[in-house]
Amino acid sequence: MKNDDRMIRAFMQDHKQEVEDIYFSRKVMQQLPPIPRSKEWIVIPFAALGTLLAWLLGSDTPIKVETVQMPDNFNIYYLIAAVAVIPFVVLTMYCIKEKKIQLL
Amino acid sequence: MSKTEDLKWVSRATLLGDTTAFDHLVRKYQSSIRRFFLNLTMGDTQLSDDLAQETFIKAWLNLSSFQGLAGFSTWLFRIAYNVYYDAVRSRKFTSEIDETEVNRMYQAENEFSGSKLDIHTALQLLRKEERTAILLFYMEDKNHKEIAKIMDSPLGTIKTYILKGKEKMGKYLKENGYEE
Repeated sequence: MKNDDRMIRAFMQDHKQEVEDIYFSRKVMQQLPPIPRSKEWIVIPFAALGTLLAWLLGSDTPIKVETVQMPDNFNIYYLIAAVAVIPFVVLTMYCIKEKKIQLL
Repeated sequence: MSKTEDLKWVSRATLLGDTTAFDHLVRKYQSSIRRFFLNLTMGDTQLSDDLAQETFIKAWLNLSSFQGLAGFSTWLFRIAYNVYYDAVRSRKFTSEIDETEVNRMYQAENEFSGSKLDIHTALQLLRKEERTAILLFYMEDKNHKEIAKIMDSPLGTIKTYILKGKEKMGKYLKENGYEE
C-alpha cells in the first residue's frame, strides 16, 4: 500500500503542470464587482439611540434619579423630539454619502 | 509568499478595498485553482477558466468572511469545490461516468496497454468524491484535515475516499506498467 502511495504521488506529480497566467488574472480583475460595503455601522447609532431613550424615559428607575439632573422648566418633549429625529438625520446622511440623494 | 503574507493581502483587500492586494492573491493561486478545475473537468480549458473566474469573484465578494482559521488556499479551494458542484448540479455538463461503464473499463484486461498513461483516463475511474479527494491530496498537497474542510465532510469519510481512490488508481497504474 505504501508503494501504491509513492507510485500515485509520483504519477500525479508527473502530471502536475503550472498553468500559465496569460491574461487570466487581468481578466478576473476587470470582472470584479464593487465590494458590497458593510452596513453594520448602522447598528451603532441605533444602539446608542436605544440606550439614550432607555436612559431618558426610564423615569421611575433609581438610575435616572441618581444620574440625571433635569434643569428647571425643561420640557422633556423637546428632548424626546430631538432624539426621535436622530434616525432620520442618520439615514439622510447615509443616503448622501452613498449618493442616493444628490444635494447639487 | 507565506500564510502571513496572504493574511496581509486579505486584510488590505478587505479593509481598504485594495484591488491590487487581491490581484496578488489571484496571481498566486490562479495556477492551482485552474489546474484543479482542469482535472475535474477532464481537461476542458474554457470551462475550467470560467469556473476559476467565478471562484475568484466569489472569493472577492466574500473576502470579509475569511477568518484566517484555515489557510487562504484552503478557503479558496472550498469556494472552488462549491463552484464546481453547483455547476455540476445546474448545468449537468458533468463528467459523471456511468458506474457500469467505469467498472467495465476498470476490469477490462490490458485495455489501456500500449497507450500513453493519461491522468484524465485514470481520474475517470474514480467516483467524483474520490477524484476530488485524490486530486487535493496528491496534486495540491492538502492534508486530510484540510480536505475535510474543503469538502465539508468528516475526516473518516475523506480517508475512505482517498483509500478507495488509491486502490483504483494503484491497480490501473500497475496494470498499465507505470513505473516511478
